[in-house]
Amino acid sequence: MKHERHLCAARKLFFRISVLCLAFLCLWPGAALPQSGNTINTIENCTVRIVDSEGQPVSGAAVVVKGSNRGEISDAKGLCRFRKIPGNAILTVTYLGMTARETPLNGRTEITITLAEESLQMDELVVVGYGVQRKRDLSGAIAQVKGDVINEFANLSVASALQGRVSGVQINQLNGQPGAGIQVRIRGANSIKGDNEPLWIINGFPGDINMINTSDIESVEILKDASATAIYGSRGANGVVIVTTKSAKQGDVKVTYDGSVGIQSLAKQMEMLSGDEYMIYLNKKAEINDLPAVFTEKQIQENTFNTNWQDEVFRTAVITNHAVDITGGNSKFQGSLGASYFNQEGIVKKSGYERISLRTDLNYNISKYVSASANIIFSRSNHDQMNSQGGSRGSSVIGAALVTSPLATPHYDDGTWNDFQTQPAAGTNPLAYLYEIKNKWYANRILANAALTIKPVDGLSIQLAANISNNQNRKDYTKSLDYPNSDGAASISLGETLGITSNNIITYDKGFGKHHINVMGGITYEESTSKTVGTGTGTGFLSDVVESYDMNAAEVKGLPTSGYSNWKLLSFLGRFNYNYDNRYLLTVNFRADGSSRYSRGNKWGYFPSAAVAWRISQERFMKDLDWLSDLKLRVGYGVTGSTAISPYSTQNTLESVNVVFDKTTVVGYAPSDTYLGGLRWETTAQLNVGIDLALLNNRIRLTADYYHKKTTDLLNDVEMPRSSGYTTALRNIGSIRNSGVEVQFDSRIINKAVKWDFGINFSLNRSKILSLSEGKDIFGGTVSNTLLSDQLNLMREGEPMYLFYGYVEDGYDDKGQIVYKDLDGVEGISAADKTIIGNPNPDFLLNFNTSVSYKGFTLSAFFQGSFGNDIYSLSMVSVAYDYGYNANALREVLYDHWTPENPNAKYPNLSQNISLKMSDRFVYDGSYLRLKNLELGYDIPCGKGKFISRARVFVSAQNLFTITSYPFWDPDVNANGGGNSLIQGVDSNCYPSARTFSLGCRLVF
Amino acid sequence: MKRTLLLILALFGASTLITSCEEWSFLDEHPKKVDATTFMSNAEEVQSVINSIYYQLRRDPGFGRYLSVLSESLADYCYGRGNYATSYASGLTSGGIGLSKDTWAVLYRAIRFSNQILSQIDGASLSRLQYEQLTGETRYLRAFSYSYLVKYFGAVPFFDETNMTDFNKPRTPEREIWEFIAREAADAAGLLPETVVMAGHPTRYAALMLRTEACLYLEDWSGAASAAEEIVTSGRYALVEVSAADDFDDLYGYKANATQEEIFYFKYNRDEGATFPWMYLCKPNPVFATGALGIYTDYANNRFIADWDPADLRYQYSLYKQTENGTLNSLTKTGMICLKYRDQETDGSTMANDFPVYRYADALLYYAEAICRRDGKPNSTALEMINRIHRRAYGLNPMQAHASDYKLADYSTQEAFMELLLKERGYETIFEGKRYCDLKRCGKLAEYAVKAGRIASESEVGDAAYWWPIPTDEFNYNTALDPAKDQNPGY
Repeated sequence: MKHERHLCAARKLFFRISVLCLAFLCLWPGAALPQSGNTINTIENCTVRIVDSEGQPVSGAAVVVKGSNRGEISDAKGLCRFRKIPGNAILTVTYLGMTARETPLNGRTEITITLAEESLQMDELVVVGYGVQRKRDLSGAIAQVKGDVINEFANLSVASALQGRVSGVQINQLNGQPGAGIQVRIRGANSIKGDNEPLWIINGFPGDINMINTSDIESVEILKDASATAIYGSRGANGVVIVTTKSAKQGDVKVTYDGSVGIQSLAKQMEMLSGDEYMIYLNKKAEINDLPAVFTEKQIQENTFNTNWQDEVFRTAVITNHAVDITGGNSKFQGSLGASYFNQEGIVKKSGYERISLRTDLNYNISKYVSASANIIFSRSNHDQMNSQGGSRGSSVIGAALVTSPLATPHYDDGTWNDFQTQPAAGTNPLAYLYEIKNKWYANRILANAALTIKPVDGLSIQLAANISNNQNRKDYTKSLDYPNSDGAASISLGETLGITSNNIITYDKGFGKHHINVMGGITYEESTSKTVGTGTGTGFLSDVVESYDMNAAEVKGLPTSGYSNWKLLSFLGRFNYNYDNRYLLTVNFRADGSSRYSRGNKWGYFPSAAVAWRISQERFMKDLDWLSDLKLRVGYGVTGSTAISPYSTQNTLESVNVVFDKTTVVGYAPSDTYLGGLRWETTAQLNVGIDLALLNNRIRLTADYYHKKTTDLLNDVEMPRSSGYTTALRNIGSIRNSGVEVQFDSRIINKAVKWDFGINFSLNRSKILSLSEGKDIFGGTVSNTLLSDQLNLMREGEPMYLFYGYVEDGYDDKGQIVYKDLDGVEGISAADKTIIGNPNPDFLLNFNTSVSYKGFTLSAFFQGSFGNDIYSLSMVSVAYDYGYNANALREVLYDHWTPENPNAKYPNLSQNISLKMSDRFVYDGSYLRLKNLELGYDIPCGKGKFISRARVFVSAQNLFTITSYPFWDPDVNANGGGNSLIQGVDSNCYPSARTFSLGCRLVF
Repeated sequence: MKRTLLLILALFGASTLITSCEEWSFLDEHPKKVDATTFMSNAEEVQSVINSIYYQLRRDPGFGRYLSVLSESLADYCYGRGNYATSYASGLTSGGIGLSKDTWAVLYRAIRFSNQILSQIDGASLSRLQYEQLTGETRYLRAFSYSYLVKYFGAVPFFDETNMTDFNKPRTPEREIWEFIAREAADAAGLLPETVVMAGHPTRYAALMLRTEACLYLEDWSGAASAAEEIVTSGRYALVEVSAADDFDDLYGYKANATQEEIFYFKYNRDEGATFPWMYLCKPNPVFATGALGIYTDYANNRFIADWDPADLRYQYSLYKQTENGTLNSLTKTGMICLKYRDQETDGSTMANDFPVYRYADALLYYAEAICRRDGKPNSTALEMINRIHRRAYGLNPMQAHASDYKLADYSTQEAFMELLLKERGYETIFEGKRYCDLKRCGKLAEYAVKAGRIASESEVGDAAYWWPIPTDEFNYNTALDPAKDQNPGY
């Protein structure tokens, strides 16, 4: 059941298959070379020792006497023994991840065979849906990222650790807060209404990836094309990310410790007006607007106030990560224990995220036929949330960190928090907010799997597996009495999600000469129930002591809320793999999904796929080419789906609301704002053509894929004319195409004492909206920071997704006011003058990493970049264009605004009647290239058999520099992003990113 | 081996047979919510859905905030700030436009809920009286919602229960909508009860107020006069008497409820409070520790305020001179904020004051206006209506003649009388979201803006000053509307 399990089972299976295959090969007429020769002399006792390139024993390697069916497995010391073995025998040694090796015995009684780590990992196993495959047998587009890459530097989430690592995958943080959402798009967005996030599979079951610490990860597989994802049917349209945590292994007990500590700080400060400049600015603004001067000359001269609010709000914060992994076992029982702790303070004071995770993995080989396993992960997260972002006029902490009057101080002289009511502009006091308002969130998450595997006959495996995934979370909000004008407030919200999944899979794997088949069939069932409860916000507390732990102490009680949601999915699935002579590969998948979310008559969706691959390098005519290590062509086509709609979307229900009569609260039942219609499944058909190429003994490796996806029966909330009294109607409205190219290139440029590796990955995705119902545009929803409030993102037939739609500017008029282009020819500026003004989709993503190592030292760099995407910056609106309000502004506003003498200034006249529209003024090029990580590591030489067998130390820097023209804090931002958000590419006073310097070590005992 | 293969084949076979699984009932959904299609079966259930109409109207985009604050921002005696900043040349600014589109949406939602109820109500088992009262209330609320759409947006798309799903509708002329309102209000007056148990539901007299208003817009002066007369002479209402400024708490305070003067109010309480008062305030003030200052006024630069007799208790109650440093002081050194809605016990987030849509004072003043317009000149009854209000404002018995009364001889022409009436109505209903519509309806918006000193000359007033814009969202999704042709003038 669990995936680790899969991996283990797969390893054993693979071992058996390899033994079997080797045996077959040897028994084949003509293949059995030594058999016909003379047995020179028989060796009574032969000891074989298997070691890796570092001389460490390799346990679990398969040692087979070529031409016979005799085989042994090396023990924990890497040893295995043969009795009565021909002196001229040839030993074939195989081990996962190592190059298989044939060694003639030549009459020796003791022999040490060194296995080299396989550079191309061609025989490595890759986790696929409901099974594993050898990498070389893959016919779909699947990328693998190893745990050590994921864990290269401390990352709160697996998703952010994957950023830039895999081609075809676009990963954006929504903002820089620890624990903030991360948006993952595999090969573009397929859906408008539905979730575009990939399906996360943890150890074989759908799970909440946020519970996993990166240091617990063994590998991550990303399933990109339909032939790989169709087995997940209606869950697979957005790609699938399969996460496998560290699993139990046979061998001596090995203890690994990973730890790091880092210092984070604000990567970039915005240049705001100083206290004196601010006074001059306000006076200048008053003068322009015919208002009396705000400050006298004397006041300006005598001013001593100059608060840098960025210095007040941000801090130097610590990030720490510790992880211990213990694994070991014998042939009957293997176990693994892991514990990890992650703590990231936020660079905004009082914010931070902490997670502790415990996991265990157990395998029992009960008999030759039956094995059982369990994998349990518990994780506890504590998040001090800082939810005050966005807006304008200092209405949020992040906004206030910039535009709060530099003449104000955080406190009044009597020590109470300044509420700025005596300042020219009164926004939120960001420090008062940070210190007096708390949003403490925690989650306890458990992912528990158990599996029983029965192998009644060779090649047949029946696996019955079950999973429970439970997430319990609670958020306590409190506002203390010390917050300006506060009577104290508190609320609690609780949530619980229980997922139950059952996978029942039968696999049959068999080779017949050059033919090899693998057939899988199964039934799975998934159910998820969520419940929420909220106390509502109680206000009027006499004391802060009770916090949120005595809601009854509130003078005014909050209004409680609660909710319930449940969905079910029943699936039948099957897969057929055929391999002829390791040259021709065929995969056929099928899945049928029955979902509770659709109404009767539309409950079932069917998702087939097929793929073929041709390993040209295995052809006889190519085999002689020494420089060619591998060449494979792949073609696949398939259909996946998305349930897209939330539970109960097809049900016409009433919501309870509160109204007041006679000063008494009374309940009402409100009709839904969504107009209902009949709904069909949203499906995505995808074609994938790919090539894998490896040259010069795998020193140069290239994988390139082209894909073409078409999503039809797109579901969406179609916006309704507001006069209808509805906001939206849920409909199947059209189709989208995503096509693109992705390239992954890895090489070892120098392979001597100095080793130089270089890797690059490139992703290009183009989306096009093929049709929309009645050709009607779809808008992404209102984007607002109160200064500007309008629709921004546009979905229009024939155009890419999420385009920015707005007004075009045409310089300034003679009063320095912004002039908008009148595009519709009808006098006056109206919504008809809006046009496409930007595109938040990158032209391409380009990431590269390089490392140079010499004598244990390794210097590596990882660059991550996005090119050609636009950002719509509401942040810039709020810091540089708010002339109707006396907030602080960017320094350059004072020195480069419109005057009759400076008619082409960057900023318009400082008129309080400034008429801002969603115009191209706020569209910025969001391209960037970031040095995501720079690391210098050193492997301390450890003697064999010492207490510490391996030690590595490193110093590193994350986010050291970013090359970009984007003027605000950070181009890696997507304020309104999320699974099904249509508002993409907006920056709105978001929590900024940190720069981190860290040091750490890895010790193996 | 064979058995295994058979098993696998059986599995695949099963998956091809699943078309027959459509009926599997365990895949059915059972939301823990009320089913809209079967819910309205009795009076209690119908009433609970009618309550949701109030829910829409009492929200911030409705009477909870925008319909008062944004409306006042274009009144002669007011100045708006931030989102509520306005200009007589170009109407609402981008902030206000962003708000007004939500007002449009909640008013239409109220109309749609009403239409939905009226289309389903025949299926409920109701007594004749219940049927009349519930349909009366629903039709009143629908017409009432239209009245606010037409006041601010002019001609608007029109839907009733017969065509509620024909979504793309052009604008129906203002006059036709006012005629509909007048008709529906008259019908509702016949269906609604004389009194209600819980204040906040409409009575017959609320419907008559709506009818009076519609008739005034239609210039059906005698229709307006007769509807208003019925309210004034019903004996069910009276002005709340005061003897000192703070006594107005009995009328506007957060505890005031079901007063003699209340005809139709939007009701708020501590749990479900309003945010409009907050927009009238900023620190420092004697009532509330903060405030967002959406609108304010000026005792030196605004003639309406400057000319107001400070002995008038309404002046003393409604306005507060703010001289200390703060938000207002950076805008004007002679600023005043509105203290009309006082909630001395609020925790800061919302206030429990009701929003007075139709007060008895409104009925008196509408009656006075209707008489004067009907007859082309005022009579003593019309003047008495104004005098009652004037007397109360100075702490006198409203019903008892006083030496300080206005004399008919001084206001004998329609012009002079209307000027007096608009002045008195301005004092009486300041910050009640009525002034802008009154001035507009009487064709006095530009004239009074000049008179109050908000602008220098009437030529500064652009078309946009008279309307809120039809929301961009409506143009985006309503195929019957063309933004180039159908937008209100000036936008």
